[in-house]
Order: sequence, then structure tokens, then C-alpha cells
Amino acid sequence: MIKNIFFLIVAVLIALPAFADENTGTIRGEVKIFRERRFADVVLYLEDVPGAFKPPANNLRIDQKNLIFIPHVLPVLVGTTVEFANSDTVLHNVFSPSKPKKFNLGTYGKDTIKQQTFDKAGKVALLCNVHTEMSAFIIVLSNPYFSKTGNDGRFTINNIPPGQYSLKTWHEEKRPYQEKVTVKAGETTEIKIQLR
Amino acid sequence: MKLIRTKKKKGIISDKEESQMKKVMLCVFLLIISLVFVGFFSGNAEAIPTFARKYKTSCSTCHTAIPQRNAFGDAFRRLGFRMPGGDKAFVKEEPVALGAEAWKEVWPEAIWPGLLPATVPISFYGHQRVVWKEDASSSEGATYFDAPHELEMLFGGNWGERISFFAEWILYEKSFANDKDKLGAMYIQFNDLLGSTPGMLNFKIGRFETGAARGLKDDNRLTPSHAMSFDYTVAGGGADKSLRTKQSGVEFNGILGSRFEYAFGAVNGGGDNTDSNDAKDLFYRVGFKLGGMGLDGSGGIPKGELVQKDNWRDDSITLGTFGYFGYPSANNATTEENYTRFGADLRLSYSRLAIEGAVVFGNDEVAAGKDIKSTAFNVDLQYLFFPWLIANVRYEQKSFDDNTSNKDVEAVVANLTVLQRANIRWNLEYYTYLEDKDGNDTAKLNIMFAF
Repeated sequence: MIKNIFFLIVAVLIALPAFADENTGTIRGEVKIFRERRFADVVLYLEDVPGAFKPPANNLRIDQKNLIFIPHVLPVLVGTTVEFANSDTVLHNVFSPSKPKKFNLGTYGKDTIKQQTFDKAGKVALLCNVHTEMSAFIIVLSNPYFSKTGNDGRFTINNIPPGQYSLKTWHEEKRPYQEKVTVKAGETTEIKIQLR
Repeated sequence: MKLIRTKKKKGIISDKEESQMKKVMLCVFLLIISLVFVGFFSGNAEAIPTFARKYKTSCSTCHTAIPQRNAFGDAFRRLGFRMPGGDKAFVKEEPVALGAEAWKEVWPEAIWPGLLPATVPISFYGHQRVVWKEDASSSEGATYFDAPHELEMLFGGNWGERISFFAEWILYEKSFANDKDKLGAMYIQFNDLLGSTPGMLNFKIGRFETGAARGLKDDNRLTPSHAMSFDYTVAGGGADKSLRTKQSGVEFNGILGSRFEYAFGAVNGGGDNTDSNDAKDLFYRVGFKLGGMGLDGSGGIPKGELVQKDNWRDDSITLGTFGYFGYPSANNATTEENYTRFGADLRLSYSRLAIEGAVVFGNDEVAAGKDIKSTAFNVDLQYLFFPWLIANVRYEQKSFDDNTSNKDVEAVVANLTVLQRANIRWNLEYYTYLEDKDGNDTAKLNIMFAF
């Protein structure tokens, strides 16, 4: 009996993603940036997706190493807590002048980790008071349907409820792009975008 | 040789002198041929100036032949030394950030972020010359080495998108008294004062060739000699009144709708001998371009990499009109010595042929109640046989309504330009006055190099 229940649970667990795939859709695509060779750090996100979404249970992290914030761009869901580590042997300071979340974590040394929760959607610029050339961005979004491109410009947004949405982009320097996208259950919508 | 025969017919030179002149000209000719030959088949010329280094591109991206700019190079200059359509993607030497972009959000609590060029933006231009000059008084010519003729150091670049700078320090020029050094130009330009449209309104401060003279691009001519209409001055009064003289002051300039350009401003006047009176010299120029690449580089923006082939071609007509109002005398002088220059410039370019010209009408107060009216005119035909072989013929004249201390002059300039490399230019120029009494004919072999 116990053996049967165990197999049933395993079967359900295996089948769940398949059900999920059948009930949701995917947006996959590629972003090119006019006259650039590197297409990384473009955030793609859907607007106006109904529902309440829980932030991830585990904190995300931005490190400071060799006087660089890593990663340079981090998209997060509203309510997410981000840890700011210092892996350098020099002091760093993390602060933001941006409206959605103004904060200053102060100056701290190697292997210290401080954290901050981002509870309002928008762009949060991160700076270091000690090293003015350092910068990073946290893009706080109101739903979990977002993605970030790698160097090749590819991106995927999974498990989207069927419907019509606005797909938007954010890039540090380029103008935002917006496009209407229809997501169908069990299907993948391919998108190609060029930013200028 | 034809000139020698003509002079011999007129009895100006003897058989012996004719023979000597022929030998000199033959030597010069053989020198050109041999050096060009050696140059073409020798090693690479590696040296390139500041902008070429910054964008890792050849001089010919922006120049037909240094220093004459092509349409793309002109747009690059108009935009404050920025590539049309967005500079950043073309920069191969990453500049040093003086603060991340996001520091803009912190302003006014912090300094607005800027950029420093990755390397010190210095270039050098040099000229070596061999000159033959007719000596009308003794019917003999003289050949001499004017080498070095000039060595100058150029600075140019940007401190971020909105601020450009340029300076020209002449380290040595043969024609200066005591061969002294001289600061040619030095200015800062604040770009895009009206926001995001590149080049619509810029503000320049420092010493520069005024916008009135920009239609003829004297600083970027191929011929060693200057065009007469922008070079002539009027005797009487101490001021340097030539339009090409670099002046200290301010200028607003910009591009409207890709096709119109304008410039206006105020300068001290007096050129190097700055007059310190309150009255400033004023100038303006408006220009319009029909066809070809837009004045801001639109219509010719490279899609990916910068390319050099055929970028000398720009089928277009550019028309401009300008004015200059000089108030050179001190506040308490009895004679004001005020002067005006009005004129028009034209550039017509089709395929390999370009015609460029200007006419200037002047009025100079030289004594109380006495004015001298002048007219200067030049037209230059340029033909590009190959991207490395360009010929120019220029006719120019100046005339005055009072010839007491200013004489009318007509001259023809023939010039052959050979680009041995993109940064090494050879010129052979012959400058002849149509009337012998007007001046001494001159032949110049000029080698210009830039690195």
C-alpha cells in the first residue's frame, strides 16, 4: 500500500510540469542592440499580469568583486530581499539615490554581507560612495514573468498564464521597447527585438 | 617648362638660366617620383592620430586626403567630434569613467559624471617643404629647403557626450618671426544645449576659426597656399582682417533638420594681436545642403563597421552666406577702422569632381571719412583620379577701389596631391600670378604627415 502511494506521488510529481506546460505558455526570443556587439543585461518583462505573487523564499545576491557589482543588472519580484556582499579587500559602500528605494547600507569591509528588501516596483540604481565608477541596477517588477538576456541576447519567460500582455524591455542606455504578445497554453511564442 | 619657355620668349631669362631652372625642376620631379615609388613599396605607416586611434579606423573614414574632410568627417566635426547616430558603439578605446552614469540621480549632491579619453588625445602634424621661388628683380629663381616648415601638436576629443575640446599648438613654423611657437586654436564646445537632438545647438568658447569662414574650410584645404578670398587683408590700420584668422570669443552653432547649418558669435577681433576694447567683432553664417549626406551625417550612417571605400563621394550642393563686422580700434581712437565682410560660399560635388568657391565683399574704414571697398573671389576645381591621387586648379583674385596701398591681384594655383599612406600626403603646388608685377611665382613640394 505504502509502496503504491509512493509511486503515485512520484508519478504526480513527474506529471506536474507537463500539466503546467499544457496550461501555460512560453515567450522565447532574441534581443539585438543596434551597433552593439554585446546584447546582455536587457530585462524583458510582462505588464499587467493579474494576481498576487509571493517573493522568492531565498534571498538573491549582488557581490562586489574587483570593484565591480556582480551582476550588473538584477531583475527581482517586488518584496525580494537582496544581499550585498563585499568580496574585495577594500571597503565598499552600497547606496541608492533612486525613488523606488532610497537607502544607504554604509561602508563595510571584506566578507561582510548586508541586505535590503525591495518593496516597490521601479528601477533602483546602485552606487558605491567609495568608488564612483561602480554601478549596478535592480529592476523591481510586479510579477515573476521576466527574464534577462545573456551576451547572445537570448531570453526565455516560462509558465505564463494564457492571455494578451505587453512585453516591455529595460536597458541601461537604450530606449524602452514595447510589444503586444499573445500567450497560448502549451505554445511558445517567438519574439525578435532590436533596441536602438 | 612651358612657363620657362614663355619667360625665355619674353627675354626674362637667358639660355644658361633656362638650363638651370630646367635642372631644378627635373630634380624636384625625380625626387617626387623616386620618393613616392620608394614609399609605395616600403613598409607600412603605422602611425595614426587621435581620432583614428580612438575609433581604430583609418584617416580616410573622415578625410578625402588629410586634412580635407569628407562629408562624414564634416558631420563628425559639427557634432562635436562624435560619430553620427551615436558615438559610443564606435569607440574602441573605452574611456575612463569619472563616475557612473547613475550619479546623475545624485546631482546636485554629487558631481555630474563625465569621461576621460582612454589615452592622452595628442596628435602631431608636420610639413616638410622644398620651395622654388621666382625672383623677379634679378630674373633668377631660388630653390631652398623649407624643412621643417611646420610642426604642430593637436589635441581633440570629448569629455562625455556633451563636451568636446580641440587645441592646436604650433610648435614650430618657419614663417613666424624668430620661428616662435604659437597657439593656433583652443576651444571647448558644449554640445546639444537643446536636449537630445545631436548638434542642434552648441556653444563654443576659446580661440577658433570663426563660423563665418567655415564654408570654405581653409583649415582643411589640400593646397599649401590659402584661398585668397579668406586670406586677404586690407592695408591701413593694424588689425589682421583676414577671415581665416583664429579669434578669441564665443560662438553658437548647430544644424537644423539635417540640411541647414548656422553659426554666429562674437570675438575680440584683431587675431593674435587681441584688441581689448569693449566692442566685439560679430560674425554669422547660414548654410544649406541639397543632396548627399545630411550635415549631421544622416543618410550616411554606417551600419556596423566604419568603411573607407568611396566615402569621398557626396553628390551634393552646399550654399552658404556669411558676414563679419570688425570693430578693431581702441575706445578712444579718432579713426574707428571698422570693417565689414559679406560673402557667399559654394561647394558642388558630383562623383569625382568638386567645385568650391567663395566671393567676399569688403568695406574698410582706413582713415577718418575714407573707406576702401574690396572684392575677393576664388574658385577651385578638384578632381579625384584615385583615392590617393587628387588634382586641384584654383583661380583667385582680389581687387580694390583704391590702389594706393592695395593692389589688385589675379593668380592661378595648380596642385597635385598624392596620398602615400592615409597619414602621409605629398603635394606639388605651382602658384603663378597672372601679371608678373603682382608677385613671384612659387613652386612647393610639400610632405605632410600626421601621427
